[in-house]
Parts: sequence; structure tokens; C-alpha cells
Amino acid sequence: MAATDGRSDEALLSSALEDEGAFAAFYARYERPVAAFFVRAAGSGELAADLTAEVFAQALGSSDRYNPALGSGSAWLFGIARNVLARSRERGRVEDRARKRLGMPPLALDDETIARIEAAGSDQRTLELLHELPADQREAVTARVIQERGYGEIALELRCSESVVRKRVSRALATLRARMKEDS
Amino acid sequence: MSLLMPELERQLRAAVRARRAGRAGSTRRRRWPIPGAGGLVVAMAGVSAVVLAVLAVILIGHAGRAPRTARGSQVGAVQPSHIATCVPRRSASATPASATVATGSVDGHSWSLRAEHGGRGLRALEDGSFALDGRSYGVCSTFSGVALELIDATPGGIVYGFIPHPRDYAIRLYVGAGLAASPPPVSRGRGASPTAVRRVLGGAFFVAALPKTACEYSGIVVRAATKYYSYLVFPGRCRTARLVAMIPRPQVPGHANIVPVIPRAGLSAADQRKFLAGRTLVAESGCLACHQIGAAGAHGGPGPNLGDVGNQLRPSAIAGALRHPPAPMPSFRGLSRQFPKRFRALIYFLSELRGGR
Repeated sequence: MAATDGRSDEALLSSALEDEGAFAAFYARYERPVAAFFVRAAGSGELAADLTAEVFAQALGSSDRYNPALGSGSAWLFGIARNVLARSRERGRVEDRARKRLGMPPLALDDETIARIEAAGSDQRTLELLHELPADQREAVTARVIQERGYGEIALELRCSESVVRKRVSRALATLRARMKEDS
Repeated sequence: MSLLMPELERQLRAAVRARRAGRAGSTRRRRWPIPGAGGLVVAMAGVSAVVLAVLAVILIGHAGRAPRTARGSQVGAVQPSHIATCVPRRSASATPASATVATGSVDGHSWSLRAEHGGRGLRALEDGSFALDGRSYGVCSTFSGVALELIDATPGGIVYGFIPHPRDYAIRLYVGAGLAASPPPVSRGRGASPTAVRRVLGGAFFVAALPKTACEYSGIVVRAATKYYSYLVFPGRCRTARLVAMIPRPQVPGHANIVPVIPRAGLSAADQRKFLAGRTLVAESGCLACHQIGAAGAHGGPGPNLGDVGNQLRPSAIAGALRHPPAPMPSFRGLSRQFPKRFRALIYFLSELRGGR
């Protein structure tokens, strides 16, 4: 089963174009987190499915350009995801260039699949807690924990120092932990 | 843990196989017979191509510009004759105040679009009228207007959409070889409901509930970010097409372009004029597609009942709500800046709505 492949992301990506099982394993490893990311961002399972498909198509198309020295496989993948989301928002429609290039037909989604995808991204209580955080902490923790972005990149975007971002993430996580403990 | 989308995994595996096969094919490249001459020939071919391209651009430039489409580009397989031409608003002197911008026929019926004031891009037809079989359906505006926009449609080639209320408006989307080749319309289905209105992708959007069985779309998203146009997206499903016309249905009581309210007795002539101007604006803006005024409009629509808004809100609060409305209601801020008199008339009309009429 692909999902149980013990190889590292880097190993899977480096042999993705030769070994279909390798990329399938990479897909199985990150399908759920990427779909959940898009459900939270787009609010729709159908959109999330199409965006996810585009992300993995782009990842497959550019897997030979992945450089492990520049970051982990998951960070690289979520970088693609953010770009796909940004471009889709900009154009007002879901990106599908990579899928077209690879000749991938549109996904046939039934209601059950859509419901499963939406469930993957809707940990409602966590989202509620996240929204209760102060805006600066919420931005920092979303960028760092959900989108898995680097502190340096987040600091640039939020126009503050890395240590400030670290502090905000740390405070946000502490608050979330405390509130979850209260809940339980 | 099972996969969410096993089909996607299968597609990705197939793509890897196809890529691998493609790579294997590409390695059998023919070598140039003279060592070292390949690069020179490629370079010469490149220079020739650049020269030819420059010449072509110069010649095309002299031949005159191709007609612009609503988005300034020819996209998709829609025939150019079915795409309305943009009429720039600023060159008003060269532009007739009213001009037929697109004509066609569908299912044996002829239609035409007429721009009343010109405009640019999607706004070109915002003040236009639509006629079917010679019968005019009046001024098009907001949701009843004619919009031109890039969309994706199903491979079947035609989809009927309804925004925001299926009872009032039908959208016909035409793709492929042209209007006459369009297959019969799909059934109307359940139509949009207030619960189907939600925010998607960070903006104000309507999600209209179309019948899935009929067109196999993955979600229709209608953007109502501004009052001037609507935007349809069928994410990742289909090929590019163009929304040709939004056809207002015949005016009947309860239609979003009829506001059955009359000025109360005792108003001065000036106030009556203001009232009527505001009423026209409400009608043209299609407010009743979402709101209710008296017995007219959307009963239980996404917007609140405006029948008693004059008692509930002061005029300043009404103005504020119009300038900064909650999504997905379009903002009237542009109107307040460009046409303050009309904006004041709108506020006056709304503040005159005090139940019972």
C-alpha cells in the first residue's frame, strides 16, 4: 500500500518520474493535509478536490526540479498549494493548467467523496478556537502550523522579525492548548 | 487510512506512466548529420522566426485592429460573431448612445443585445437591453443584465443557471461551435435557495444549486462582488466558454424589476420625483431578487425584507448599509460618488418604505 511506504519525501520525489508507486505514496501521504488546507481556504469540498488535484499535478510536473536543500517535501508541496490558491483567487477560477498538460480528465466526484473531503478539513472546534485568537497570533500560527511555512518567510510577510513570529506562534499554541484542555 | 480521492491517485499514476513513456520516446532524437552544425542552423532558424514575427506584427498593425471582445481577448471555442464587442466609454463622441452589440439565434429564436450607453468590458452591456424574437425585455441591470464573461461549461455544451433566484432569471451559456448547435436546455432542477448562498474563495459569491445530474459540474460559483457583473466558474470541470446572455424572463408581478410601491399622498412634486427615481433605481438594480418589498420580491430571500426599512433605519444608516453592505450584496459606493443625486433618491425611496404599502 502506497501510504505505508517508509521512504522519505525527498526519496519519493526524486524517483517520482520513474516509479509511479513513489509518487502515489507521496500523494497518499499528503492528500489529506492538502485537501484539508483547501477546504479551510475555499470552504467547499468540490473546490478543494479540484485544487488538490491541480497541486499534485503541478508537483508531479515539477518533481524533477525539487531541491531538498531548499526545504522539506511538505513545505515545497504547500508552497505549490499556496500558489495554486493565490492564482485561483486572482483569476476567479480554479487553476487547471498542470492537469491539462498531463492530460488528466476532470475528477468525477460523488456526494460521499465531497462529504469526506469536507470532513477532512473541518475540525470545527479547532477552527473556532483559532478564530478566537488575536489576529496577529492567528495569522502567525496559521502560516506556521497549518501552511507549514518558514519563520523567515512569515516574518517577511508580516513585516516583523522572526523572533516576534516565533513568540506569536508560541503564545497562540499555548492559548490553544489551554483552551482545549478546558474543553476536555 | 483510505484515500479521499482514489480516482486522483489513479490519474496521477497514469500521468507518471505517460510521462515516462514520453521521456523514453524523446530520447530517440535524430542527430544532425554534420557535427557542430546543429546549433548554427537552430540559431539561424531562430533569427528568421524573430524577423518574420516582427514583419507580421507590422503588417497586422497596418491592417487595423481586430475587434475586441468583452474581455479584450479571444478565448475558448466560441465563435467571434457571438461575442459582443466592447464599446469604450471614454470615446463617447465616436460611439453612438445606443448600438446593437451582438445578435444570434438559439432554438429557432433570434436574439439581440443592445448597449444603451456604451461602457467598457462587462459594463458595456450593463445598461443594455435584451430582445428575443423582436420583443424587448427592457433595461438590463445588475442581475437581470447581460454579462459577458469567461466561464467553464460542461462538455455537453450548455448549462442553464439561475441567479440569484431561479424564478426570475435564466442564464444561457453557449459553447463550442455556436448557438444553433447548442443541445436542448437542461431541466431547471431545484434552483438556488438562500442556503445555497455562501462565501467561497475569499470574496462575495453566490453558489447556485444547479441540478448535478443534468450537467455534472463540480460547483457553480457566481460572483456578485460588484453590481455590474456576474461571474461563473465551474471549477476544474470543463472547457472554456463564454456567457453570452442573461435572459430576463417576461415581467410579471413579483419580478425583480417591478417595485409595486407608490408615493404616499402629500409628497411635494420634487419629493415625488425623488421617490420615483429611487424606485426606478431599486428596480434596475434588481434589489428584489434578494429582498422583499411588500408582496413583491424574494420571499425568504438572502436579503432582509425592506418593506419597513424606513421605520427600522434612519436615512444615514441606510446610506451606510448601501455603501458598505454585507456580502454578497453589491455596494452602491460607486453610485454615491458618481451620481450622488441618484444615490440620494435611492435613500429617500428606501426611507419612505414604512410598511403597509
